[in-house]
Amino acid sequence: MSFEQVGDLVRLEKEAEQKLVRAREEAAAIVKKAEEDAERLLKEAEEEDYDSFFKDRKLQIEGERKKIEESTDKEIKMLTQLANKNKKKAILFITNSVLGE
Amino acid sequence: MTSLENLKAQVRFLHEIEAKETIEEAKSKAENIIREAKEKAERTRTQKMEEKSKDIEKKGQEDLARTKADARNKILSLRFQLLEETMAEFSEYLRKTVENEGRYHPSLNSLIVEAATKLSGNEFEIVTNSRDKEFVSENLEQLKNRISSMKGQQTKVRIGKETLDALGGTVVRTMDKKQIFNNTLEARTDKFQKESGQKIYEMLFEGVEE
Repeated sequence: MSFEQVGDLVRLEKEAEQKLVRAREEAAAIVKKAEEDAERLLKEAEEEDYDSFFKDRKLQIEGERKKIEESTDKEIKMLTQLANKNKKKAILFITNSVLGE
Repeated sequence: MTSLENLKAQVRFLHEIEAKETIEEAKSKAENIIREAKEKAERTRTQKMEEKSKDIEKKGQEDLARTKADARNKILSLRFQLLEETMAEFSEYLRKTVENEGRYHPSLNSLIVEAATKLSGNEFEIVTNSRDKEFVSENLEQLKNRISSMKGQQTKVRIGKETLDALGGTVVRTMDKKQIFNNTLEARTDKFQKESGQKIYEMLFEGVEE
């Protein structure tokens, strides 16, 4: 093998090595990007607004709560009216009983 | 092909293969990383959804339970307040009624007779407030006759020296002071509240479904 031929081979070897280095760099970049994407996916899963999935249930519970409060207000009104209506009769009854009539 | 070119071709081929394999391995590794991340993210989502669902349900039920308890307390307080108001109005009404002698005096007589008949023996002392003392003194004979009639024996009755700090009614005791019956309007009101408070409650809220 002539001197030039050996030089040719060495150059070829160097070029191939450089291609391999680039391939390794490309491979590392692919893995790095995958790792970054994976991290982003996990972060998204962690930080997702899960409350928004339960808006309807929250509204339903709030509705039930308001219903109870409204029903209580109605009962308060009704009891007050009833007591005011029956008060006189009750007072007369107590008075008669206390006076022994 | 000369042996040199053959050698060159082999060098290129081997390096290309290695480069291709390196890229393929990296792609495969990347796919695995992404797949595992997706699976883990999905597990995280499922877990977080379950936790959030339980949390919202727990807080919601606690909120509803608290609202119901508050409602019950409000109603109970209101009923108690209305009952208190009624008793306060009753006190005022009773005070005015006592001023109406035409109505009150027959009641006072009955209260004295009732008190005396609750005691054993036949000698009684009647104690009243200062306002009623004169009326009782004037009616002492009539009261004695009614008490004797009720007890089925002759009785002695006199007015006590003390005066009561009471709206009305009487305290009757045996003359030896061994027995006493408190029939003041205050005592009767207390007794009535203890024994018939529920009835007043029912009268006040008659027509309400519990």
